[in-house]
Amino acid sequence: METGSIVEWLKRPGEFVRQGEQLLIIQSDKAANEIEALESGYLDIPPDSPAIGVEVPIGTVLGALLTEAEALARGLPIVLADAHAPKAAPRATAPKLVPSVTEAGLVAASAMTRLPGAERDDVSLYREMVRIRKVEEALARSHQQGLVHGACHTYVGEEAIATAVCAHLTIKDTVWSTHRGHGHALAKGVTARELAAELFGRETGCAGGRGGSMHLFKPEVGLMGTSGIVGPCILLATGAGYTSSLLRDGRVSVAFFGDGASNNGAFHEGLNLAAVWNLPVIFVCENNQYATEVPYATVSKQPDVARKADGYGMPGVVVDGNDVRAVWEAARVAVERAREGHGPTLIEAKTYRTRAHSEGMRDAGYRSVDEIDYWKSRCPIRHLRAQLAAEGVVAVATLDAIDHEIEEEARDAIAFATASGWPDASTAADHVVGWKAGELVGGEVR
Amino acid sequence: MTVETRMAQSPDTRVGSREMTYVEAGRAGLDEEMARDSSIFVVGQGIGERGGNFNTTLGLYEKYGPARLRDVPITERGFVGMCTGAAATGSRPVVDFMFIDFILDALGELINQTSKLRYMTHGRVKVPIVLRGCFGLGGAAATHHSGSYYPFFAHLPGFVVALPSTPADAKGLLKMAIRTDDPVIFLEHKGLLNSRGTVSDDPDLLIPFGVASVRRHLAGHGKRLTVVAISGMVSKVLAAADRLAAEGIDVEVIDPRTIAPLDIGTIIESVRRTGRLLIVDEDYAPCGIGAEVAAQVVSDAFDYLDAPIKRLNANFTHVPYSPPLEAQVAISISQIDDAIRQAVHG
Ligand SMILES: Cc1ncc(C[n+]2csc(CCOP(=O)(O)OP(=O)(O)O)c2C)c(N)n1
Ligand SMILES: [Mg+2]
Repeated sequence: METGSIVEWLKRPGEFVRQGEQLLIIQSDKAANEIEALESGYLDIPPDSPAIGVEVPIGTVLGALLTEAEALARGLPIVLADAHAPKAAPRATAPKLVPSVTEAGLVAASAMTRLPGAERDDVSLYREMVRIRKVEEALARSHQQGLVHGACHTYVGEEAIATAVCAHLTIKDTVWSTHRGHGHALAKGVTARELAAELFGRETGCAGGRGGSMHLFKPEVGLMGTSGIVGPCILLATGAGYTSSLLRDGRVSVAFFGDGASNNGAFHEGLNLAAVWNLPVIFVCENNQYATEVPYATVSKQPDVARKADGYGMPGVVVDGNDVRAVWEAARVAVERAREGHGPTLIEAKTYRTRAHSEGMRDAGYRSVDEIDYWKSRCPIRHLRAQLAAEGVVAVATLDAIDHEIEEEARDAIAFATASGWPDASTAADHVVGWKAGELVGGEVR
Repeated sequence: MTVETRMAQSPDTRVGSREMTYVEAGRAGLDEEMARDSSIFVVGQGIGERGGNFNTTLGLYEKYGPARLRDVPITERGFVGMCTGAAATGSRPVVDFMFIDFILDALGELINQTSKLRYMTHGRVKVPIVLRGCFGLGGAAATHHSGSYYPFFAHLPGFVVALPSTPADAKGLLKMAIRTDDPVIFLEHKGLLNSRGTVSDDPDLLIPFGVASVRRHLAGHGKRLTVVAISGMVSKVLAAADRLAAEGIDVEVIDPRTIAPLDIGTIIESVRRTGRLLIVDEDYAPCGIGAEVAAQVVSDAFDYLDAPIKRLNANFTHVPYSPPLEAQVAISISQIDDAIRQAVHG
């Protein structure tokens, strides 16, 4: 044998390969040979490594097995770094693709490192924000009419965040959200009809009427759930990241949560796990400055949630949560980072809810009318509308037409929910478990 | 691909069997499942290269590597929530708590997320996760390492609670737990870990949930009694039954194997034969599995009973360290003998 060619790499760049594991298949003039790793390390396949099928002489370097520090220094998309890897050098700091919080507090998104990606579509962003706003307002009216039962936390004022983050996701990517989750559900692909019907408790709702406002699910599009418990979404999104890392399925997961959740133990535990294992997770803290009526300043000495990212060794960024373009840019960088195997990012979007914590709750006393008015004047929808008008790229008539279309969509959603049937009461105990006592399972093999 | 499985009651006779310990049997089951399904991963402290505090994963790290044998920080709530999210998105985590006492730090996640996701999503999300750990009194493990806690989980919809008492069951139930698309609490009594037994090598031999095992049948002479024994109590009750046969006592011993679901049918069948029932359970009596068994038997089989139902449990106190104090809390051999005599003669 004097020459050979690569048939297939059995490991990917950045993957940890153990000594003795099969690394690649090489075709010689005699046979195809599986080549095993002579030592453990992270696989690096440099750009000048021969392409598959290209015949090269013996002695040609095809790749290298690096220590963790070397791999990180080379910017390899390390997957599931192994804390116990033999010979692994002490962990180096991951390359920072996004800046940490600046003293100024708000980091202009345009100042961030630019990476190639899909174009921003302002009209779509506008449409989605209007959709969330109008559907929320329709649901709030329905709540006043007694058609929505139980609690109902609206997303009015915060629409830019879900809209901008979800613009970077596919239906395979997962979103894990909170009690204030209508906006996340809509932005991730739950229809206005399914959302309204769920809040009305109807069988056509996205959880078949089992969930209501705080328990929205549509796993078919990656909406893995909103939640009545503050905090767990952070851990669940981290777990989705673990699956993606283990199965190498290319998905990213996003946790949306409030400033209140950032004081919960789940925040500490989830961010630490995601960081130490380099999981493809984006943590989005919607800092609307209050947890119910408790001001954030009274429960955290550190005014920027994003600054806490530093303690976990991950990048943290503060963005203006009422500027959809700024959030879009921050999310673009974070999602790309996650997809390329560089690990999680914490995005803190500073924002404000302009309605009560929950519909029907008293909203006076803990915050001033002036403060609410100020934030209403910073409405993310009006802001983008003004930008588009000033730039003259999109006709105002186009935006007006979108407003009308969405108004119709919201009206239709409420009509659909009203006309939908109640769930069959006899199904209340369905889907508790999948197994049956006394029966065996076959199970799928992967 | 769906794989055929066989009931433990009908093992494939072409496949051999071996004698091994309870821990080895569980580990063999885990190994077989991990080889079969690459989406299975284990998390826990010291379950990687070290092989587990109780040797539950010994040798598996070398085979499956760090991503599938994942040593975790001491963040029980964190990794339970994390594994729930992982299970909901296509992998199959096994959480090894070492001592089950540590599960308490994760109860909120388990109860509000792990057990409810399938229900809340109207059956569209499955949560295949196994939560395993060692429990029970013994070895001067003291207050923070001697708990049982299983009635908590049997009280709630959504969990299987498996309590294998033999090596064969440890393997068969663990394999079943791993292949199940729902949360399973899998508990191993510390006193059983080194017990030995014959275990089949059949890789598809599973033990279904909710099927009790009659560990000792009536001899047909003497005063009859049904004893339901849980986990570590099974072998102790079997020994007592052998001893007390000489006193003219004929005991049928039922091992429920899973308390959720509970095979009440097998227990009632036995009570129909004996008319008397004693439940021996090392966990506390109030609101425990004995109370549940008794309530169901009284409700559904009152006419079969010839005497009041009796329970024998550990002392209702926290678990002390000093050996004589600990022994005072645990269920002793003589207590079992006396409880059986009283249940028969009382
Ligand atoms: C673990 C837990 N504790 C308390 C509550 C009650 N609760 C619901 S929403 C909320 C405030 C949450 O504040 P934040 O996280 O900032 O979200 P926001 O409502 O401001 O969007 C509280 C305390 C809960 N749902 N879960
Ligand atoms: Mg808040």
